[in-house]
Amino acid sequence: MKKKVYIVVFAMIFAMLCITIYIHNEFNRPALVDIHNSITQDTVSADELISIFTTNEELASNSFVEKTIEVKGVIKKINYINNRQTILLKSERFAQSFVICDMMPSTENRIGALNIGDTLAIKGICKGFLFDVIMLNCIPIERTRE
Amino acid sequence: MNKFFILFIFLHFGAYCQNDGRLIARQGKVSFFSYTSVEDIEATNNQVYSIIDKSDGTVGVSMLMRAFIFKKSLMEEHFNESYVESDIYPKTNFSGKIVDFTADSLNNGVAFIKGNMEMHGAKKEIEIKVRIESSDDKLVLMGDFEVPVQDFNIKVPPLLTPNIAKVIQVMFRFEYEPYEE
Repeated sequence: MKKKVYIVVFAMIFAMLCITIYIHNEFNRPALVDIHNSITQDTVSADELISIFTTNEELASNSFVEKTIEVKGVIKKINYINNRQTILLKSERFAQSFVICDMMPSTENRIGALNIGDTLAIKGICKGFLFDVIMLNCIPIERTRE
Repeated sequence: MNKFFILFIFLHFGAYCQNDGRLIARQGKVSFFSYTSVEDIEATNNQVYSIIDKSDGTVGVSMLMRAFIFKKSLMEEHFNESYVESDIYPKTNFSGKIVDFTADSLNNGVAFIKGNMEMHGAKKEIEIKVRIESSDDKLVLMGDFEVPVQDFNIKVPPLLTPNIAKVIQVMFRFEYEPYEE
């Protein structure tokens, strides 16, 4: 009888410990996305992406926002504003709008090898459109020299 | 309402700042902090859009709520899904003007900007103190202000009330440059 009580108490403590660890891990799960292993849900050019957002923002938001997508375009600018590595992909049809790609810190070495005018495919998470398309957690996946 | 604001920016500032008097910041930075005894929450948005018209001191700001980066995933989920409801209200906008604007208002120093902030479907008039750093081809505006959560109809579940500050600290920095074709 005493042995059964011990087993039940032990099982309860073990269950509580597991729940505590699970809750702790859930609360502290880092927000950083593992974009390398994230499945690409759509592939578009910078031209197409900006065009879709400027034509029908609501439809574009439903299709792309919070999705992992690959965008191909020509590099307009590489900058380090706010201590972030950012690549701006330009569009041929929309001279005033860009795809702003906030790059993952782990891509620093690869960005150093990129040049303005290179054609680059970038994988990242689309966050929406202001006057440019905003993408976060980006990584370069394919480059063609100018 | 967001569409109205964007239309306002286009009409007021002219399509894409072709005038020399208008400066643009595509990658402005806005951070917010919530300090409580239970937990501290902070997040940063590095892709905030802003335009300033040097001729009359008018300022426009627009940001995507989903572009805030948090340290913890759960905080980001709660922020977007429960508090600011980013699906329904994806953008926060501000339009205002430098108070008592003169030609010298954008020199190095301090100024006040008064205008309307629209977030989570609510609109509120605010006045913000800004520090200005000015050089030949660049203008930097930075500062901080406080946002009472209840002013913008943000509902915090009773269970989480101790975790969220009643007044959120907001910091910003915009580095403007002339618009290039």
